Amino acid sequence: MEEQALIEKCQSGDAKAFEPLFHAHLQMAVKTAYLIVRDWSIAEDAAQEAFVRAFESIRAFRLGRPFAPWLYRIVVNEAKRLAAKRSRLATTAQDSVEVLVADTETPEATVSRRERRDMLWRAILALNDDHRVVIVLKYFNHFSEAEIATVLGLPQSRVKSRLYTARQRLAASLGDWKEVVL
Amino acid sequence: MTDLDKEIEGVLATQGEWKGSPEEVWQRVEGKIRRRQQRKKWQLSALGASVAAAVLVAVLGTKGLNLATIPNRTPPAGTDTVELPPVFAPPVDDPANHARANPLFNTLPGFLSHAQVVLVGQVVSETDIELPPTADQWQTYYASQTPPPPDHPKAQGWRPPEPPSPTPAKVFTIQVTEGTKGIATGATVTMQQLNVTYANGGPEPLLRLGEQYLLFPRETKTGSYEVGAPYVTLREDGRLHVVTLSQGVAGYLQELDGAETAPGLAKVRFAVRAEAIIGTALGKVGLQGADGEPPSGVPFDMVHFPRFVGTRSVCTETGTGVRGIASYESSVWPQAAGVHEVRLIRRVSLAGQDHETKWVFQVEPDGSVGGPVRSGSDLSLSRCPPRQ
Repeated sequence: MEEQALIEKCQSGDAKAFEPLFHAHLQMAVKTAYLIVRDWSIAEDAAQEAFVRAFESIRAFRLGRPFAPWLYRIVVNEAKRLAAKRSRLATTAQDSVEVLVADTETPEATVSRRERRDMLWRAILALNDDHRVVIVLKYFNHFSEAEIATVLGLPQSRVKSRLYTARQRLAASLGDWKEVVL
Repeated sequence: MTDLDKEIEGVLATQGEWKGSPEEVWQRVEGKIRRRQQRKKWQLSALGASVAAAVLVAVLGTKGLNLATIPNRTPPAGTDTVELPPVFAPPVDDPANHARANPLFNTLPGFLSHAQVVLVGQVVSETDIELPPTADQWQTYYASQTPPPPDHPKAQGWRPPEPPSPTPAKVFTIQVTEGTKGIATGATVTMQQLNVTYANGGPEPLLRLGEQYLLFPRETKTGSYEVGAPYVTLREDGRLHVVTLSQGVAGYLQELDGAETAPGLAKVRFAVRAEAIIGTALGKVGLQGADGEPPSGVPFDMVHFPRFVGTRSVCTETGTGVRGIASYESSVWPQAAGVHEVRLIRRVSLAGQDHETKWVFQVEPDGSVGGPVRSGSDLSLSRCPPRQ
């Protein structure tokens, strides 16, 4: 059934109609929350609570509009709320990034690529919350700037500005990396 | 798309994989939805805002408070919205005294959320008891038995400390006279107040024999219940059990303006969680600035909201004030898209003078509709010094 039709049924109180919506977005919602809070348990809780709230508030959703930005607004808010609640908003970069190794790649190239990705990931984590969230929404969720503005409840100009700043910082961090490597 | 864009995408895409079970999460989500739907249904059918307001009037009436009229409001047909317009006028300026003088205020904020069970109880007995010293007190006592070295300034005249004394306490038994959600009338709540002393500067009893109190059990994650400022557990047999009243309860609501909605929008049902008002008592964080310090000029006990995330000073018409952005947990159910506003006005005593504090909550219906808690609302508060 089409997404909007499911939403319409949900709006009439049919919780079962919510299940396909849930499954369609769950993985992405959990991962989005994880990228914001860097804790899988918080991310799962945030996604869970976000879906509950989404259903409860689904009557406020305007049919005909894209569902994802509306949903992810709740997900992002829940993730931030839970992270703040548990004081677990991680800012340190401990994890290494998995890098798929191509058969044809030399070990040096693999290591080099991994280092570069590690550095980029650390740079993403080092961004402040506002900047990291826009990066996640842009490059993981693939939302447009207008949609990010909807998700965050911000003017589009501010989203643009945050994206610009965040990218500048990430680029700068990779610039450092190049100098080190070369 | 630039190389950097691709790299960022790649990094984010490869950042781990959720290994949880979608089915399990769905079971939990579905369960929560069902429970909340049931609760909502119950609220509307079993109690109703008008009945609740009537109960409130009745209870407050017995307290002889300076109470403004509480209109008996009925939700508009076809909606489940309710206005909560009560105006409370506390007779005591000092918040601490206020809490003592009006124990109802400890529970009213909880009542205001009225999303849960509401009980009315009457104090049917009170017993003075003495609690033996705690293990910590004994530990402190024994640790301080060692005299200072002879050459220490405090060595002269040093005496071993007195052993810790029992703590005077009072136990109140409150019988539920009106209850909802299947909690039988006649169930009892036991409340214990520590450090009860009389006429010698100590705190007086919070509750009084024969008087009625509004109790606000709140369902916890584990399915038990807590009551307003105190904590109460509802056992499986229906008995409410064990409460410790905190002396730190100082929050109160002076006036609740009611919900305001943007033109053309539906009414908003709003409420304030007990935690928001008595956060300190619940062990949450009081007012705290971004740097961990209270904003300049604001007494720390003036605001009891969890998680104050930032402050900045502003000038107001009457002088300097403080404006802060707080992450505020409230129970807000916007019924329509738009920005809603709820005003809370408190009166605090500062240097012997009254101040009114007005908080304006901009509530965006971003999906927390119907939920018992929402966060992320910007809280603006301003306080002005006394007029010269």
